[in-house]
Amino acid sequence: MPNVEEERIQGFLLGFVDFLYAVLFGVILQQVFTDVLLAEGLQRLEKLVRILLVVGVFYFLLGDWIQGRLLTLRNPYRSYRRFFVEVAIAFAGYGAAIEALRADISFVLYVTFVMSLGSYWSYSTLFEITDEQDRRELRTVMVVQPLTAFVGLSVWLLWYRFVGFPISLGGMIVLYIVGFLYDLSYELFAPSREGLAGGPGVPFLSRERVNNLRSMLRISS
Amino acid sequence: MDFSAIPDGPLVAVILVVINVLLLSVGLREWHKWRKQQRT
Repeated sequence: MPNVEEERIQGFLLGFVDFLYAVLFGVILQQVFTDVLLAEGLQRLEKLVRILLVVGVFYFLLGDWIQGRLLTLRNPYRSYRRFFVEVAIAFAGYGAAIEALRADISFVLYVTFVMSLGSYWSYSTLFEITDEQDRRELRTVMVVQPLTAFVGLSVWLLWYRFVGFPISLGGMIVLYIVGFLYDLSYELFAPSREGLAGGPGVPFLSRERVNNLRSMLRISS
Repeated sequence: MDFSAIPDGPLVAVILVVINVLLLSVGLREWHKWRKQQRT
């Protein structure tokens, strides 16, 4: 009964990744309280910027995890490669969260690392694919994520050159806009499925609006 | 520039640029292949 055994292995590998992410999110939440909310010597505005940065990173990691989990559900592991990449993504995600808590722009470097690993994960999934409909999404990830990584690296370098430490309210808004455009480009080039299987989608934009925007920009659906 | 948070930041950035150039070239090749399949 090799299939039953494969399914069990699949189950404990996914269980480990889920557990790792759960611990990661728990630690991030705990640090938000100890390092920001209850910290002495931080102005209210500084606290607000740090919390919103962590919320942004949290949302990005959560979206990344949900999308990866949905793709794995439809295209199970056939080797251990994707599993180890997912563990590495969790490590890099933790780095992004702790730097965001310090309002240090270095968190962008960790996000860039997550994107590079995500692109490699998609490339690996293309060889293990069982659901044909996912090919387009994986190819989109392979293009959109390295491009966003270049934007992130440029933002990081320009920040160090012209702004410095720490991130201000204006800087945080710019980073939110970059994040929103990343989500939008992903959705424009890889139309999602209906319902929960389609993932969280673009925040504040319905699927109909994204569809209208796609036809306006003449992107095939 | 102060790279105190990640002292090797510039080196890490260069490595990430190289990795992403490679990933992007593979991604574009796959995308191009898919578009070609769509047309035929």
